Amino acid sequence: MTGSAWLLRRLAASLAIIFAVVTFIFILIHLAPGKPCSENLEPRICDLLTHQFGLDQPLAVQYGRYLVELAHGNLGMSFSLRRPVLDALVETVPFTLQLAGAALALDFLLGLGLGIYQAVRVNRLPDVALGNATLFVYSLPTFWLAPILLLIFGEKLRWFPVGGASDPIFCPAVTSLFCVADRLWHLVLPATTLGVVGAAGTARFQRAAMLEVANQDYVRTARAKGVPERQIVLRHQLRNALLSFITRFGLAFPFLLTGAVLVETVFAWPGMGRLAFNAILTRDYPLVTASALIASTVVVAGNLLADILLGVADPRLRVQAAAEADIATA
Amino acid sequence: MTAPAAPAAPAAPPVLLRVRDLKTYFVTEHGKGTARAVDDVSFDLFPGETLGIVGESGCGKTVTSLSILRLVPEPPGHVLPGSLIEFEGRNLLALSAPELRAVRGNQIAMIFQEPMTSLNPVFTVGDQIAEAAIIHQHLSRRAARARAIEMLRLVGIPDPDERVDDYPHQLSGGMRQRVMIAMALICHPKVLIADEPTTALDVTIQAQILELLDRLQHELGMAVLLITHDLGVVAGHADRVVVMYAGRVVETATTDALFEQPTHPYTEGLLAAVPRIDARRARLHAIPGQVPAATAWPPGCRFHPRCPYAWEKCVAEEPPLLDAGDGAGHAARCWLVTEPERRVPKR
Amino acid sequence: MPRRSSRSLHIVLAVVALAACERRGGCTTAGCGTLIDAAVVEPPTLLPPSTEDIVASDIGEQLFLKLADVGMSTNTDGDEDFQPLLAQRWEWDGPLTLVFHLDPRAHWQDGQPVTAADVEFTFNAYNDSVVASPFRPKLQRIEKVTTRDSLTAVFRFRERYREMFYDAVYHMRILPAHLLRSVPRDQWRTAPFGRQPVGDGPYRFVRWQAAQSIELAADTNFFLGRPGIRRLIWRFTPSLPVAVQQVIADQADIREQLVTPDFVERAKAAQQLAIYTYRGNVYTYLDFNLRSADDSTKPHALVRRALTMAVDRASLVKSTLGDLGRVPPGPISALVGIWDPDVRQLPYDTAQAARLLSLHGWRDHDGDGIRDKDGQPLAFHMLVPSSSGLRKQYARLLQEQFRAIGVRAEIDELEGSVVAQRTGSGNFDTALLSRSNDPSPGSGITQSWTLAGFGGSNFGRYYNPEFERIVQLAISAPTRERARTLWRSALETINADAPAIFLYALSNIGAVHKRVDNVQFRPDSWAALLRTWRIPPDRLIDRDRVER
Repeated sequence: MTGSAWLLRRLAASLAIIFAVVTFIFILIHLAPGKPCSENLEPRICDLLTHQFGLDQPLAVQYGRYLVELAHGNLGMSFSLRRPVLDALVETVPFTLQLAGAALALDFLLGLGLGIYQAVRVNRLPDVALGNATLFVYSLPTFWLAPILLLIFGEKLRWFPVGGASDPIFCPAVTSLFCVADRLWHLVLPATTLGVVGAAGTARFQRAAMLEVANQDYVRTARAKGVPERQIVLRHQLRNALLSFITRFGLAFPFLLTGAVLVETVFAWPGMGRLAFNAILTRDYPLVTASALIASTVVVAGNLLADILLGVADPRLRVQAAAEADIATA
Repeated sequence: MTAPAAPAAPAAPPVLLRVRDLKTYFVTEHGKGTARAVDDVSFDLFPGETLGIVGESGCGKTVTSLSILRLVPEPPGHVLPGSLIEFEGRNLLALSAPELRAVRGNQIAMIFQEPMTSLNPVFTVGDQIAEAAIIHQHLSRRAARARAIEMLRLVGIPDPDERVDDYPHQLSGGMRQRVMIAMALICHPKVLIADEPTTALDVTIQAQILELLDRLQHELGMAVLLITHDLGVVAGHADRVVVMYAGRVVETATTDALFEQPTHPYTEGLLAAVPRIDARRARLHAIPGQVPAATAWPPGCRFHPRCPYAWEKCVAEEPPLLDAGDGAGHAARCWLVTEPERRVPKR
Repeated sequence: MPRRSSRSLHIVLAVVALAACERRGGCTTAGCGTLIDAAVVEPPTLLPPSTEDIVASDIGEQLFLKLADVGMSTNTDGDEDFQPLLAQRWEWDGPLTLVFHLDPRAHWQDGQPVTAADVEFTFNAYNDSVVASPFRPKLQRIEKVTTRDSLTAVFRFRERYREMFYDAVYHMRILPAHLLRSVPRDQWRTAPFGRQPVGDGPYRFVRWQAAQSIELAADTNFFLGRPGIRRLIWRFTPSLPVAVQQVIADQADIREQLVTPDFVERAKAAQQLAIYTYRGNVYTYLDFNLRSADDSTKPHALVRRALTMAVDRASLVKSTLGDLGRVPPGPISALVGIWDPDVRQLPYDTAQAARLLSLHGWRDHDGDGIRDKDGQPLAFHMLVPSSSGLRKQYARLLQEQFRAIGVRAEIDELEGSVVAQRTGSGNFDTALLSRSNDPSPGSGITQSWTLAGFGGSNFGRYYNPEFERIVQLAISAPTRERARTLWRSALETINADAPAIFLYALSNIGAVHKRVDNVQFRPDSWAALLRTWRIPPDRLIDRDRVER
């Protein structure tokens, strides 16, 4: 089918991009100054370890070896964690997915809701008030927001835990419904930190997108048909504004991942953002490269997902994509 | 100062849509000025007739048509108090929002100039046609879809059972305008406002669409307000004509009277621009100059800067609509009616 | 939005509170108790020879025993102040032979007895260059370890010196040979054993949640007595401020180092916390790079002395650290027994500093405010790791003080790994470095300030034969008093030579929940005596009682 041909072509392009990113990161991190040893480790012991891990080999040799291992599904051994990279990622990636998923949901559900609500009430008091509020929140830097939330809701009010992903006594592993609640409870502050700024941005974006659509001829047509205002906004405007929203959704993934680095560090969230950040600081080459592999996969997958969603949401693209695929396969 | 140009026929049927003293102004950006886009316009529409509103772009004819269904975006636009738009005896300007919605698309429907942008790109044409029927006639989705197919057939779209699921971008321009017409007529409105329905289409399609409108008007018995810049369109399809210039009605007459004896120099100019069979000439270049900006209409007769006959009086004082004297309510806003000897071109 | 989320928040809170109530009851006697440590660094492995971070060592204290350990005095001289652990007793068999008799009750947590063969195996592993243990350099004076019978291990030394016993017991945690013999030595750093250790200490390993926590449980059959607290959890919070907040918010019980005066004040304000002060094991200094073979380019001793005298070290410490730091009397931390505030040091004397520089030809000839000689300005770079806020602050303060005597210092803030690379390869002018010591004066000074530290942590390659001679004499001095005098003389020698400006030595202030009794922070290793901490039954709180 033409649709699947299009998808195959996109997948191939995605793989090429991921491969390019991994290669680029591999070279970059090896060329960066610094060595994979802590400040307090004796240099002669560091040299010994560097040799043991084959880091004194030429870069091309190391890269070739890395590719061979990668082809066998082996991501290598992390120097800093002293364990297989795969093991560390298997443990941490789910946490980042939980955090990013919650933040994404907050970002887009809250943002979308507010944006639509504002568009319905445009230029009236709730819209103006929310407009100022979202501008304020949008201008908050995450590195400032995170400690403030911790101070207020963690230390002072004690409503939420001060960091961590679970209660270390009750729920070292999520084994019961109670522990699911415990996980969600721990998720509130980090997900808010990661998602609320985006939500404010999304609200502003969505309001603007809705209003832009509001001036389109087809909205006037709907009005001339006697469609109620609410239905005009929620049906005619929203469906069209969603197209740019989906594009924005696809672009959100890189920001979520970079944001996760800070949020995971501050909130002691055991995710791969924190892992990757430490890996860079400690020049843990295999872990850096594997993190780049995962991150680029997520970003590329996010874009692909957005494109697919866009194809579903915009009938014009559906046909166009099919036509493109026809040409490509012809 | 304006005397309403009431049609004179004594046995005329009751007026369907009465527009009196309509003023629609726009506040320009940053409130720097007021654009008097429609400035004291009056006319009547009778059941079953076609009334053409003619003028160049910028004359206020589109704003007039949008004002009827209160589709002028507010802000920046607003219809001034004192204006009257009476439909079957009810002032549309005084209706509540739900009451107004019950009129829109149901009793007065509208089609627009640009059929591509006027259709929502993300819904099927069937959905868009059916929507008004669902809202006004409370049809089920299924029944509304059947009605939509029926309407597509009525407007002459082949294979309506399949086309009903098409999206607007899958249709040609002419087909889209047929869809617009189907959408407008699904509730059998008493008035159809057609704002430049053929401008965006090529000539052969134009004729087809106008024929379709004529046919449907006869079949469904509605009144049509046909807004166009093209007197050629009016000639074959309108019963009466209102000529607008600079937010004002400058001449009103039956179509025959207008073509036989154009009284206002502007009408004259427009007529001169109608393409003939023997020579294709640029249409609007016959009248020198352009319509002035709506924020600064000229004093006196608003047409005087472009008028080949203008004299001092035209600059000093704006003429009222004056009876042209050939009966049937032919009137023109021009001093030439009182001083016909001055109809001598200066250039 | 705020109203709605706070409602759902209260529902969550209610669920949590309910669940907590449900679990009330549980453990209510002495020997109950859960302590949560708010740790900042997660160790990569718990296999002792491969660990180089403090948290791994803290946890190692609970899992793996040493033969014997220093006492609260942290005196490393002789063997009088040492406490028996795995070794029940010991005796000297001649001047170079030390014999340990293992406690026959000691056993590995898989049931196997601890034997002398484990001791021999442990020494060989620590001493294997393939294992690359950071402790290996400290074991160089031990020639070999052998077994006499299954409970008797014999240490043979290469030479006689004052800290023989200390070196024999302090650096090595005895390992289970039967579990590690099959692991190739080049894979010890990544051995699965390191993430699932089996030890012989007061606690046994329960679980490790990567990037979250490590949990230990008391070994109720521990041969030296049942530990007072039944459950220990190290919870990893990479941000120090947040780790401190956890203790303040009563979500953790121990923060062993509060680090900054601000955190100390906030912890003091928390009602449930008790504050403990103990000597720190870190000192920080501005190291001069003396590697250059060309005498004209390396900083002359006069210049080093002048720069040292230009810095008001006492005021700097007071303004940045308050009670948390002191000016060290040489390259030692507060932990080290030879600390003596009366050791002679270069004074703070900017006039003298200026005179010294002028004398050496460094004058401001061109009037730009910076001294110069032969057209070269007196200027250098300071390498500072960007991860250390305190050292970055210090760099700026030093810069000002140098500027005041006409010396330009430029700050290079770089990532820790880059600093490590550049100091290791000698690619720096000066560097603000921190070193942590064990309580012995000998090993720290030897490794950082003598020829033995070339290629090791003597980054600036300081070498003074006179200093080396005094250090050697001190290490092998016949009596403790003689050693003390010699160490004092060694410190005064290096102070006068000024191979670095010794800026501050940290004091540690820790916070522990008040319900805990018998809290003892041994300065060299705060967690060494954790097994003796107790919570009286009437002070138990929810997390102490929880049964799983």
